[in-house]
Amino acid sequence: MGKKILLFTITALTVLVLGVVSYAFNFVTSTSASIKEDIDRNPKIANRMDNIDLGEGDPTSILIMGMDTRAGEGGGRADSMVLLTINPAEKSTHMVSIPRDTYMKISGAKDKINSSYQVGGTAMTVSSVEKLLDVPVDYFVKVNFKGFEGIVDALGGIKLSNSLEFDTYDSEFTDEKMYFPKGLLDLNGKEALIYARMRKQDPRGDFGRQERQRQVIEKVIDKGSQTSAIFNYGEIAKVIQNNVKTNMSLKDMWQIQLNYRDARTNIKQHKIEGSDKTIKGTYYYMPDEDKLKGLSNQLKAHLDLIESEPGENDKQADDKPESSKKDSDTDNKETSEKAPDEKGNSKESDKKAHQPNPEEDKTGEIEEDTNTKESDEKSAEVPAVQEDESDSQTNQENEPGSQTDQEDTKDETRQDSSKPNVAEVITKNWSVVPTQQENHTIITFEKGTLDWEEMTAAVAKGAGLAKSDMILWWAEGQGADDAIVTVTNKAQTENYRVYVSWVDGAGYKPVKVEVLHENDQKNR
Amino acid sequence: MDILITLFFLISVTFPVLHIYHCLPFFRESGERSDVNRELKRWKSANGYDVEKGISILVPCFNEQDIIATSIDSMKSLSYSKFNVFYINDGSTDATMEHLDDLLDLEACSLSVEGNLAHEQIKEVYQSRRYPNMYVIDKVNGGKADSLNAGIEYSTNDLVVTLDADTMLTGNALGAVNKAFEDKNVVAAGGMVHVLQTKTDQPLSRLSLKHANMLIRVQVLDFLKAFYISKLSLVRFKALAVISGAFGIFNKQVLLEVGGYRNTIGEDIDITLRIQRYIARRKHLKINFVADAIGYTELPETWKDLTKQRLRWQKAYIDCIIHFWAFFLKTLFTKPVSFFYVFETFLIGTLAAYVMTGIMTYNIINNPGNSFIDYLFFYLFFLIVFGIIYDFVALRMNKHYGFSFSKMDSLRLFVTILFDIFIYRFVAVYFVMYGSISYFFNKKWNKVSRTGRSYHQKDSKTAA
Repeated sequence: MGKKILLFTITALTVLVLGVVSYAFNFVTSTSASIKEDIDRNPKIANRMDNIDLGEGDPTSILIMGMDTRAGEGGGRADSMVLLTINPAEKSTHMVSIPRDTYMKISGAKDKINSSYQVGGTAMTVSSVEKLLDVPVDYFVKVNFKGFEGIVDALGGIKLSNSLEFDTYDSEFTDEKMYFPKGLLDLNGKEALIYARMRKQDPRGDFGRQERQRQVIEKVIDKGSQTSAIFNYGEIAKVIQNNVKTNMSLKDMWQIQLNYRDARTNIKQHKIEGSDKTIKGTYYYMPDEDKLKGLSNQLKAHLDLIESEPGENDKQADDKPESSKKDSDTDNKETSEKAPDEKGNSKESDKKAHQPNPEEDKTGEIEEDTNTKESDEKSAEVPAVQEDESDSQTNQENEPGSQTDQEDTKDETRQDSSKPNVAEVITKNWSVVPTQQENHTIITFEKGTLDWEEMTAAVAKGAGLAKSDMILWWAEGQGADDAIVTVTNKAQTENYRVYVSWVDGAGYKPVKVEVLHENDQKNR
Repeated sequence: MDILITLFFLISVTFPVLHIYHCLPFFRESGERSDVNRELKRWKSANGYDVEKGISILVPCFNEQDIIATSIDSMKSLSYSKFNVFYINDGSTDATMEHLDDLLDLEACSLSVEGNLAHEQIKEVYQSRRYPNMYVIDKVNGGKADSLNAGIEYSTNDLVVTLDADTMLTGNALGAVNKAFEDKNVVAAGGMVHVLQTKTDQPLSRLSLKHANMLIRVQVLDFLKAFYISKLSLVRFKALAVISGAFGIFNKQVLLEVGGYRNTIGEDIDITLRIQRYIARRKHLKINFVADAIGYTELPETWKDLTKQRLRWQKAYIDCIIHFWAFFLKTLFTKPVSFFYVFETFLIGTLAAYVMTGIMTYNIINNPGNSFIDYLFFYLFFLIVFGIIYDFVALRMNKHYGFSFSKMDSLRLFVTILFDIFIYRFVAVYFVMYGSISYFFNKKWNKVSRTGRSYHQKDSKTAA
């Protein structure tokens, strides 16, 4: 009888082991297959990919794309892009934020870099980044909001040090009401997402956000490479199955985790220097060609593509003190997170900007919007703190001269939209076009009436066009008090869809403007 | 869907895993091996220390003209004193009867019968002048079960050995049978059956694949697995459902009590289950597997014949699950034989084949993505590894029971294992699926043609 019990026990154990093994395998392969997205590469990169040996620790580059895909919307946009170059031999990682509004040539036409995703999907975005920085992008990892949240949650949240107090009580980009005090924060997935997405309240604008994004990515990588993360593999896999896409194979991921983990201890942060510019009503970010070239060379050297030039070495030497502070040792967190703070302290204007004074905040943002290259220099550049100092001096001298356009850009927000034809959405607290109507009841949509004239005046105001330079293509009502009007300028080079609203007793005012890629009402 | 497949996979490996462990000598039941020391045993039997029980060997023959001479030769070489042989000519349409007459020099005789079992009309009963312990029963064609029933009627001894016409017993087989039945509680037993095409001049210790084609070689593995792993394990569970028709040993009284053979496509399964049902109420009685009683049987050498044979076996399984349904249901969880027959043979061995094939097909059509291919390969890999383990255990067991292949056969065995894993097992699944369906449309016997080769020890092939 004892033998029978033994027999059943070992049989059950064997089957159990087989079950666990097969389930695990099943899980791993189905996960890796469901997140796999292969893209066409140009022959040069494809060749590089063939020769790259992750087992040998060849330097490699990974583009992390934060996707803005919300429920019920396909496609999506690359909301944030961070390129990592990892050199395990040097035990170092470079992290470059690529501003989504970066102006560059995309399949013939000049446009924002993040429009590349609409034009040609992941492949186009990857090749655009390659073109911009002139370095190969070996791997990409696309994560949407849900995936990001889920990963952070599966890792048990992340700890980071916040240098900017802000809240989302009045924010439009999220319904979540959250408050982020200064100091060490323990963020769950939702909080980390908001933390990485907030821009408006940051006096450094997009640069501040980029920095927070890199900070979060660093923490996620840090936490993810800890051995304890393996126990959450199931949860992570569940999350990433539908929310992450990558061209890494299971083996690639395994080897990167195995051979490249030490490189995370020395992370150098970069941003792309440049200036803001509005072309035909659309906001662009113009990268500084020289700085871009320098950064590109630095990355190439890091990827062992070129010998590092003497100048580069110097620059890297300059980086050293900063980057060593970025040591991911968790005990060191306070120190490592001081970086942005210190920088802020080194400059009067930034320090002021940290104070919760809305007026000051606006000034901070205006600085970003003014068309001086220098103004950007000061805010988020992590390496070369010394250089920043002098630059910011220049910047402040330039400031008075660049105040002219302020009225127009004041409290204006520009957001990208997921609608395919919409380049961006402008919202702003426009003023009402004062009405002369005695008893307005409903939008008439009849040419020649006072109501029509007042409404179109509001439309022109929203579109930023002179009424005489505007062609109205289509107008439709949205209830009694709202209208959606599609207009272009006379030359038909600028296309807008203006949402106007009747304010009782006051008149029409624009509430939202969508900048369109093309006039979709032309053939109506 | 993934979970379902994993679950199916696990259920279907459970029984093989169980058998692999259970067949190991560690789980041997007391008194299972008759006598490991064959020399001593031979000496004992030769010197009268063993009391030899009388044994009647029944050999149903339907159109067996090609093999009958070999059979008679093997009977002559049995080292046992108290046995007789009954060739039952089941209305052969070929020259079987003439061959028997030639070889045995027959003369009509009269044997008394009790008339307990029904069978077709007996034309004549003969005794051999040359070998007085050999008889021939010439009867009207009625099928194998019918012939065996007639044989039981005429058999004169308490122990009945049933053989196929192409089964050759080794010299000491009956001694081993005698020894196994010293235990009065043993009412039936299966003998070990090796493949006749691999027989050498040392039939008790060496097998050779030299003259066997790939189909035979793969069946050699199949037989080793079936007998040394599966049957051995089932016997230890008291769950054996098939005493092979090629070599079975029965207590004649018990055969009569269960009403003899049923005329059906799978009479060997049927008689085993009848006896299982009989001993279900008599707990002290048991069915054994006599690993030391060695017989060699001829296996089909062509795909066509193999298909016929395997389809017949599968039909027999289905026939018996239907025929014994009431017994199985009643004793599903109380009698191991019912449990294993219903769950292992029927649900997992047969129904799961359809379900798995269905799932595979569904997935290939609807989900041709990478993930499916991935785990398809994974399961194939698993099956391959498992198949190799199973084959190796079988070979190891073969060795444990005193048989070995020559060194020359190592490569052949290796190739055979590959053939088994990559081709044969899939064909086997086809046999199961096709056979189960065709049972309901075509219940024919599907007689396999004999090769007509001479397998006697002195012939040129084995001497080479």
